[in-house]
Amino acid sequence: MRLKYLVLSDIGPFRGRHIFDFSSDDTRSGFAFFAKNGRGKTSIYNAMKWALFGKVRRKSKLVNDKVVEGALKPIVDEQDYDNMLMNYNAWQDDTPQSMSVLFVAEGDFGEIQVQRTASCNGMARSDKQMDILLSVSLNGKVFDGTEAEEEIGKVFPIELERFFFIDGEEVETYTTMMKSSTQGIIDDIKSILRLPSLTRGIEDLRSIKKTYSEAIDADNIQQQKDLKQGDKARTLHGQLMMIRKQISETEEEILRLRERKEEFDEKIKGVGELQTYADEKMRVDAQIEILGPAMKSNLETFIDDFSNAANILMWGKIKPKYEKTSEANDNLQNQRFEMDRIDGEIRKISKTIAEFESICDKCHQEVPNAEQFILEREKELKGLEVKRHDLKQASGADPIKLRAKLSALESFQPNHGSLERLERSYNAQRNLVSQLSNLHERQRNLSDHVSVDSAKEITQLAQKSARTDQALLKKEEELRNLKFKEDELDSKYKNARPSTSDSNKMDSVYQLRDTISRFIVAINDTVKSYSDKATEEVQQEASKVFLQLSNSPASFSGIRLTKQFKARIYGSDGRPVVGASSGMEVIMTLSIIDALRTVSRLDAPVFFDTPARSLDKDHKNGMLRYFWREDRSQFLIFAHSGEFTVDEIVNDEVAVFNKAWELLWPEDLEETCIHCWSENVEHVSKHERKCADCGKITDSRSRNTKEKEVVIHE
Amino acid sequence: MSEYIPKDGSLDVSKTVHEFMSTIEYDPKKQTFEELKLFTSTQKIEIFKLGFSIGYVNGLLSEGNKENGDRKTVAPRGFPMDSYRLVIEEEAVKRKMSIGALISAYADAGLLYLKSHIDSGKDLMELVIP
Repeated sequence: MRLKYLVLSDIGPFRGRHIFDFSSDDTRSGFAFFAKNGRGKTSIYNAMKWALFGKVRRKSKLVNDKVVEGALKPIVDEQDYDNMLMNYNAWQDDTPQSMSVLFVAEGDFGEIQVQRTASCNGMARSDKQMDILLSVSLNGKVFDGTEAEEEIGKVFPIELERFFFIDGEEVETYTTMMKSSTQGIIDDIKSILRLPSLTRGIEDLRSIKKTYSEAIDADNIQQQKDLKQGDKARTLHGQLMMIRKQISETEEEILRLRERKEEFDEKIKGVGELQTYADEKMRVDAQIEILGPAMKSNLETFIDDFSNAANILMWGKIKPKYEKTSEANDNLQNQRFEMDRIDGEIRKISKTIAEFESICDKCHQEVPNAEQFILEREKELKGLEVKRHDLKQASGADPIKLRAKLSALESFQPNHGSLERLERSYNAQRNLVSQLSNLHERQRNLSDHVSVDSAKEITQLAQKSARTDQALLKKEEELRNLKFKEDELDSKYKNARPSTSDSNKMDSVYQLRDTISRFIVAINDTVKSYSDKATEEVQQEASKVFLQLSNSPASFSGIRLTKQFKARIYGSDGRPVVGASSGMEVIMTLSIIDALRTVSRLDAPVFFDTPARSLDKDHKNGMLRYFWREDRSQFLIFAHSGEFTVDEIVNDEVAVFNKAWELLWPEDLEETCIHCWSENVEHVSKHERKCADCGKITDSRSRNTKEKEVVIHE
Repeated sequence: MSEYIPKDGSLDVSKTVHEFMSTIEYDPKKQTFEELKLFTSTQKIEIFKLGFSIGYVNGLLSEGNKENGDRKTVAPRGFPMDSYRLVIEEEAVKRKMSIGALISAYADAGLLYLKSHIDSGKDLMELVIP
């Protein structure tokens, strides 16, 4: 990434708008600002930090091996004008007040423009009264607010600030930290190696894991408490587990049965057209089977009816004899009735004769001729006796024997309707036998199509399928019952158990905790592996840079870093260098910083404020030679007059920069116009001089800086 | 010389008839619905009566009744001997046979006739219905 433009408005000693153009076809990486103290070197450096990160800190200090960050520099400060970011004149004179920085860069991501503005409609007495506006344009797409901060963070990660904004005064602090391996340097080095993004993940995961562990512990304690409190809940829980096991087993069994049934059905399908015959045969078999009970019932009825057959047949022969005997019996009965009547008459007439008293026994009148009356009665009596005798002679047969014969013949008489019943049951039986014969015939024909073996196979398959079906239905019913029981038990268990623990939720919590544990182990392993590899890489790269920066590379083998990033310079004899000069140690620190940038693939300009502090001439020149070269990241130095001068750099040809500016106050150039750099000026008062070319006045008391680009004549 | 009074005698059938009877006897335990079955084991006397009726009505009288060695006795339980005596006593006197022997002769002949009727495929009812 390369910086293209920097535009400052009313910041530090820069009153009004100041444009620094870093764009150039020249591929050299060196850029420089030369100035005496107070001319705005650090203000430019700070302006860029403010634009990108929204805050500027005073220099950090090392206290008890820990880096103590400096306080934030205010935009405006009534109490300390010298330390505020805004231009003093703009703050005092302008209404509204405003300070802004525009930072334009380009890289693989395209072009980014970052503009941060602080403004106030009135006189701002503190930063709280300032409105800060951030606008980021990335390839023409504009972002503001949090989105804008995020877009900047993708290009200039704030945690890496220390590695592209280097303060010469802090390098010494860094050196001390590296030599003693303080936590601050470890953190910074880890930052540039992007380890925090991983370790932050671990911390987050540990935090989540801790939360889950606490939840699990709490749940365990609660469960133990609950279980102690309720035997019932424990028993119910046991039963519930048992039922769930049974449900699981039953579901497996159902699955198995379904597969088995599908298998049978598939086999049955495979038997093909035989199935039609087999089905028909099964129907015939079923009909024969159904016909059985009907035939049995009808046959028993027929046999019952047929028991009358002997009498039906016999009666045809016996009936005439029976009728004749019956007639004889009737006649005999009639004769006996007549004889009984005659006997009665005889007894009556005999009594009349014996008891006669001249009164007629018929009209009950006195009889005129008694003798004649008696004679007639005796004649009548004689006639009756003759008739009785004749009747007795005519009957002849023994009535008892006759009745016995009649009774015997009657025993052959069939019951009423027995013939019709016999015919009916006989015909029904014949029909059934006929049906059965037809079915047997059909069965035999079908058997010709369906061999015994195949029929047996189909039948067996059908039977197995049917049995599987039944077993399936049974198991499904069992499953329904088990699930019903499970619901009941679950409900009872939930009622019996305190509602604080959700077993399903806790199962998930256990699983999550275990998963997180595994993640943490994996990330730790990755971090360790990456850290070891990166440390090795940084050590190699730092040694390479150090040997290039050093003015006597043959004396050193390089730099070694421990796992705790404690740095030591090693001599060519393979032993650590004791009593290294402060310049050498600063070079070591710069080497490590550059190596870290290289290893982290951080592609951003380096802004180095007061870079040559603590360095002798050889090391200063060595540093510029190394960093100011083609095809590496831009390297911007903000050098005060005690470090470098333009003449020194140009005349000694220690390095050739791409662009350089001198930052000047009017007092620095007594015979020059500060506005157009013309030397055609005329002093018009003790402190003022007027330019003959541009006509503008230069006030030598002004503390507002003007930048002047350094022209190199190669 | 006093008049011959026939004794009751016993009831029996020839071996052939006895075997035939077993073929038309219905056993509820056997599923033989297609075959002609006319009586159950408790109705043996009924089929004997039918045999007598067939023999008596058709004037068929077996001569084999004298071969006692080959005959099978029919249990007389439920057989109204007096009624049959009334029907055939005169003939029994004439033939100087016991009532049982004469009944058995008619029954034996009647059942043989039934067998030949069935064997020839004729309709059973032609034989039974007068």
